[in-house]
Amino acid sequence: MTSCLCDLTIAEAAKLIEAKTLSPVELTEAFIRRIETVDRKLNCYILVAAERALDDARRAETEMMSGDRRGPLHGIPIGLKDIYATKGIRTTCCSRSMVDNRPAEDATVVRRLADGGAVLLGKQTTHEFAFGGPSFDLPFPPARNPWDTERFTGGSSSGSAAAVAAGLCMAAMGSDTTGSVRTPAAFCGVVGLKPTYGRISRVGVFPLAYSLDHCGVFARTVKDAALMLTAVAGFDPADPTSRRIPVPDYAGGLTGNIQGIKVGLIRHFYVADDTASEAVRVAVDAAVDQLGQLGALVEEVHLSALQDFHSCSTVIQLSEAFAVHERNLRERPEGYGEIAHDRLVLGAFIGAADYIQALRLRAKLTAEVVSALCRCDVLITAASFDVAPPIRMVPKYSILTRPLLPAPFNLSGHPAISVCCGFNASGLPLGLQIAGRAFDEETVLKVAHAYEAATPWHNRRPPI
Amino acid sequence: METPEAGLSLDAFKSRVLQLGLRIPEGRDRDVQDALALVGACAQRVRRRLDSLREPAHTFRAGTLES
Repeated sequence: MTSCLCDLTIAEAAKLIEAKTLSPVELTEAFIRRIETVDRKLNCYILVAAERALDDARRAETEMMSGDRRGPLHGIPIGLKDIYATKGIRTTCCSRSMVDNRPAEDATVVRRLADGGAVLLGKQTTHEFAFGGPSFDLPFPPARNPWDTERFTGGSSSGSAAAVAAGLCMAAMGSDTTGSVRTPAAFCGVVGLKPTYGRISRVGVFPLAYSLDHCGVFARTVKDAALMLTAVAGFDPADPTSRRIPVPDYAGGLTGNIQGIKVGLIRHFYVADDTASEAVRVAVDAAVDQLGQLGALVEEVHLSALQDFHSCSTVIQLSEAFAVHERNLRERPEGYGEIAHDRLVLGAFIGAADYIQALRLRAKLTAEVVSALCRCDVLITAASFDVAPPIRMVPKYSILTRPLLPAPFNLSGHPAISVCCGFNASGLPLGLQIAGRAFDEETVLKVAHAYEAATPWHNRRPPI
Repeated sequence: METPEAGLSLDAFKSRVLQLGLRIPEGRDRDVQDALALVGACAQRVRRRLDSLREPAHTFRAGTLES
């Protein structure tokens, strides 16, 4: 019964809870038991807040029984990447330098999830400060991929992606600066959504690079991601980048009908600018065919080379990340693990003029994406070049040696999602990326949902 | 990058690190210096791309798409 409950989607569980045939306490207990059994192999959680979760679940149950239903997340167990501030609950960023950090306030997203009645299971493993990993010299071990525990989860929202894939929570919040939601989503075979810059408040979320950081959502299905986004999105006056734009009922927009939707395929990113594995190319080609069969009109579009986006985002990311960490890198470098430290110091050497030139190029590259999205409703490309590599073979400077396919949409700020589009011969998941117009997450989700509904990939479970 | 760290001798690079108020443990400084060459290549590519676009320098507006 435990694993059955942990296999439910949010949409399924919410219906059962609303009908009073499933107790939030029973559901939460099932997840806590599964975490106790399974997480020793995966290291998804650095803190399991079992008592807090059960308190949340009991409160949800009492409210539901008295007819006070807050919405579809009421009584739903979720997890948080450990860069989200949680009042009174340790928030470490997976760093020695913050192991005793107990925030005085919740992040805005955490408050919104609590307002929606979600149950907080715990804090999930991240690369140190959402930047350095996988690392073996931190207070907490790196998360493992549930499809093969010798493989990397992708990062930096490593524990969150792995936890959703392994049924250790129903959904999770991560963050995405150059792909830290979409890459682990692709490697772990789950849905990873990075909405538009300004759509979700970042107040209380530890920054990596101010102008590239986005909060993002992990879920088992597109519909569940839509339910999560509706709960956490919206204007926050405390976040200067937050936008006062109405939040639609995203799940309500998932009609399954994408007839006539114009899809722009950015093929050169993964076949010419750099070469994806054959498995990825075959899977994306098949996804293109599938979208065509669903009535979408697919045409190829051309943007600047992926390396231009990569170069631009690298200069911006390293500069901004160094600005965040400058004082601690100078005064307390021993507080960092090797990878985070040795990546972060690179920003010290980047001149102001280089940063400004990168911002200038960013405007041009963004304009290209906007232009493509004037002709197309969404853009699609691969989410990663290959499946998850062995965890011990990830180079220290992997962020520099190969461009990241998700990064162009951090640079431009457009919403983008990764959905599973198949498996390689070894049974490891592959990801398809779908991006859309600014603040049009609805269309991105609609296309992703129609694709998901037409394919079997989201029904597979890792052999953990 | 305009800064020449990537092409410096290791000793000169170490001096530059100290000038910046940073400490990189012995044995890891070579890795960082090698990585800087990759960052420098990124910065140069940005400049070359801007040149190829003939982007006039007076049209810059700070911020991202949505800010």
